[in-house]
Amino acid sequence: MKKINFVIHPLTIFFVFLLTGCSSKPDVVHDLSNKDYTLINTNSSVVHFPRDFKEKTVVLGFIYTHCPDICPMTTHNINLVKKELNKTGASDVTYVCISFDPERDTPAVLKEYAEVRGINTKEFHFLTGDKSEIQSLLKDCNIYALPGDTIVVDSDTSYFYIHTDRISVMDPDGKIRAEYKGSTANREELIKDINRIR
Amino acid sequence: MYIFLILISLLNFSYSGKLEVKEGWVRPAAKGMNTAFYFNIENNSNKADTILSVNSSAAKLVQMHETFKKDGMMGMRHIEAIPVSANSTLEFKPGGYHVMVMNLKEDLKNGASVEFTLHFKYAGDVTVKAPVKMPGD
Repeated sequence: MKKINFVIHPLTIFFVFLLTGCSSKPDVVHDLSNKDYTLINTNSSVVHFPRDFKEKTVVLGFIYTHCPDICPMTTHNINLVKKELNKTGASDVTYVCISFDPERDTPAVLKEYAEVRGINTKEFHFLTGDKSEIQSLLKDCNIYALPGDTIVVDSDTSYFYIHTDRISVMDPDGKIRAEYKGSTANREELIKDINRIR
Repeated sequence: MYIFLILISLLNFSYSGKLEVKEGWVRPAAKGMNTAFYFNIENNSNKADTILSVNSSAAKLVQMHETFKKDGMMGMRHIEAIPVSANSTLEFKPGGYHVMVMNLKEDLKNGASVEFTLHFKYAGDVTVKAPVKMPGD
């Protein structure tokens, strides 16, 4: 009887590793699956985060609306990712920005922030909430926002934050699996990771 | 020969090209909120200059700021004046130097424009009109 020898070429192992590696989900960075943060959207309706977004992959940004430079870039990056994914009919992905400045970022302020940028808040959600609830969420997501410079405009003191610059991707189970620098995130890489996670 | 070289160097020193403010744009923002004005300063002369301040009637306060990174976080600080080297381009861009336009008097929506006057130490005042837009629009 003829003996058949199987020889596995090293390249085969490499490609199998590459394929399985590419298709698997990134590791969990922060697990919010058992959390329930009570937040408020731009219509002043209560939103349970992340429960109300279950079964959706969430592209999540952390912002404050008085920020003139970094946070608008983060918001814009998420909006461009949304536009790109909408072209592919990705209805299982949703987009959320949470304010770390709840005292000034009321639902009405967040609504104006979105509308002046032409953002539809039915598809891209802007959330605020009670200060302690927001603090708890920020802590769980390892987001920092510390008071920075203050500026007096017409006798009103305005303050700015030194803050984490972050976009995260949360899977449909409420587990954050990828994080990027929000203002300068590579959108192609972000979309590639969203497609691995969703 | 020496006189010729001195004349050449004097000619070179006294040559004054233009200082131009180009590619300006402003992010959209709502009334009462803040935004940023970005642009390039092209100094095509052999003389260094300094940008001292920027004004606009579109907002209650306009200041030059710089975005910085500290301990993995991002912040901003006010800058009083910024030198513009001779024969160089100084960029005011997202994540770097920018003009902070605070407490807007009206909504700034895509397609609108805002007038700014930049005050230079030597070149004097340069007024530009910047479109309101998002990068990539």
